[in-house]
Amino acid sequence: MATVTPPSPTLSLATLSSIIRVDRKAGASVASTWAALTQGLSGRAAGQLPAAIGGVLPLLEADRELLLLATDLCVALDLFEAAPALTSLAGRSRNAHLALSAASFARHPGVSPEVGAAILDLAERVPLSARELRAFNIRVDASLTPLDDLERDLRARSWPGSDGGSPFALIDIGGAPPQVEQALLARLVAAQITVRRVPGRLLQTPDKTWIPAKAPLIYWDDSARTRFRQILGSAPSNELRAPARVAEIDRYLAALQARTPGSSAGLSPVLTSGLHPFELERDLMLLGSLDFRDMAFLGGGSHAQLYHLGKRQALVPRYVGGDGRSAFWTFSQLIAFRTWRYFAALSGRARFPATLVGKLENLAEQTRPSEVGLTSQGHLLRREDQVWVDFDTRQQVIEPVVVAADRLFRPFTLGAGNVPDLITPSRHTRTHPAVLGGTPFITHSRVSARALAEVDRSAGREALRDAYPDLQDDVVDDAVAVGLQLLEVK
Amino acid sequence: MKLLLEPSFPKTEVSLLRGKNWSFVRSEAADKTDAELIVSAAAEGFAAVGFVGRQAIARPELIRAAIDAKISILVTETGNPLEAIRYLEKNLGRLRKLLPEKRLILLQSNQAVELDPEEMLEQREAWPLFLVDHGLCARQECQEKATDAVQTPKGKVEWYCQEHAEELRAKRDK
Repeated sequence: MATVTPPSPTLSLATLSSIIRVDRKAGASVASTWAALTQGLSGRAAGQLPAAIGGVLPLLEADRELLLLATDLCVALDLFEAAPALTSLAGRSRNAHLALSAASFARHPGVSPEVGAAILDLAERVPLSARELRAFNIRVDASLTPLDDLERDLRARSWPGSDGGSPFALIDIGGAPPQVEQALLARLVAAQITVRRVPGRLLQTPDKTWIPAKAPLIYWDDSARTRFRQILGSAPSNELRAPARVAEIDRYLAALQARTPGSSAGLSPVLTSGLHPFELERDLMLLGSLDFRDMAFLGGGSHAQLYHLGKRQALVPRYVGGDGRSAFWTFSQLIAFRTWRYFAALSGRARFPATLVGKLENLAEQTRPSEVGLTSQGHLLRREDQVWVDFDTRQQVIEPVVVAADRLFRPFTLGAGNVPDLITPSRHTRTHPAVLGGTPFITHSRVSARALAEVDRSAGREALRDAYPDLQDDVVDDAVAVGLQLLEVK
Repeated sequence: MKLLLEPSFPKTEVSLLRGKNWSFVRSEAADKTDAELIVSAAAEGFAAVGFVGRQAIARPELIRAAIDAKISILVTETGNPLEAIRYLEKNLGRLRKLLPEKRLILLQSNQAVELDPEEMLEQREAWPLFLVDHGLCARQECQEKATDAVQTPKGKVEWYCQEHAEELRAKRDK
């Protein structure tokens, strides 16, 4: 392990003092807690800090909120040095949350095989519900197949090297100046990049999913490259020497972000998932003029739901005239509506709070990206520095999150029918907020699927082919199918 | 006068469109956004860009682009491209009077209506949205909620459910 000397009593006291001084009303985040803990530490003390945090965990047992904050800190920042203390406490207290947190370290190469085995034993020692047991097993076994969206999200976060995993980076901490490493860690976590801290000496052989070859490798000591070549069986494909000083971190991050799988400068992976070739930036989100058919079709809802949301001022459209009167919504409103419907579908609740839609619309229009989730009680959460906090109170939330909305752009099943993919509703159609108001159109043609369906319905397929001779038959068939679904929306 | 029509207008029908001193071009700019289409059309000397359907008038960025580039936007009340072509054809005389000064024009089956761009640019809060409960559909036997206003041939505005509103418009516009 990187730290061989136990932390001094002074450091342990300072660590405990920093944790208990956390301003809970302000909604403590991992980043702010970490900043408070690392402030003013000498290099030696900074190197011992992860173990010191593990050391104070038992002292926090009487304060559940602080205990959970500290354990979440360990998981979010991959502080494997705290794993032995965390495992011991989980076994003794039979606390499910601690057991789930400890499970994150079961396969960590910085954790000894004995501690790894003790973590696996927690599944037997700690009373876990069926759902918690699945969560535990997903954390310790990369090969477990997720059964639903919640499990898929958990697997993506637990095993970032797996298919659909979160943006991540490997940090070889051998030879790292502790203060620089800690500052870099804080910035990476704030950028929603999952970090894997790899010690100079490996105590377990890491799984390929834990330490994938495509991960950017951040290193200080050149020997890391040789070591990784041995682990991976080939040279790391993506390596970047770490900054030597804290002042260099900003510039360094810009270079790193471009090389981090799934990461996009300034945008959450939630928002960029499957959006190529355009990125859904905030300015684009505010565009669009989708009528109720577009909204209902792409959002997975109905005209009646949009009517009620408008009436309750939860999702207020722009209303434009001529002598007719039509309501139009923006793309951000579509995403809010779709998210709301997605959550409703996953929660299985017949009545779903309409107030959530307005909050989701606000989130969608903010400059800062937000990963959103929901509790079983219907509370909207946003993810800040790897921690879920309540949207309204900003309090950290510890109950299980129903879903992390990282699949909002992909198709999902809802009630009686399926909801199409938001960006590519079918093989030959796509949507873009700045093209035709966001309604589906034929890729590389700007012909709307709905327009084709209107012609098909009123004049027949032959007339349609005559009117658009430049479109291929299979493309027309595909687009008309989408357009007809749109026109049939009730 | 030159009109640029977006690609949703049917290629064959556009090629058959005729009008004295009119020139109609169907855009081939497949990968342009709507705003780009408008700005580039202005640069190429078009008097207006035509869109199928009314969605363009709900987009402030397009209206601003048209005002800045001194070009007009034509939208059609119908979303059916074949009908949209007919609306355009019927209203060429009226369009000649409105273009190139008027920035926002709605083409209906029997008239071209000038819309106020400033009004269209107002904040969404200013619009009378779904805030008024219009009760049930004006069709006597229908129990659906009224969500869509339709102007009758006699000029009266009545509220209908979506299905009946469309039915009435189709009958009125025949």
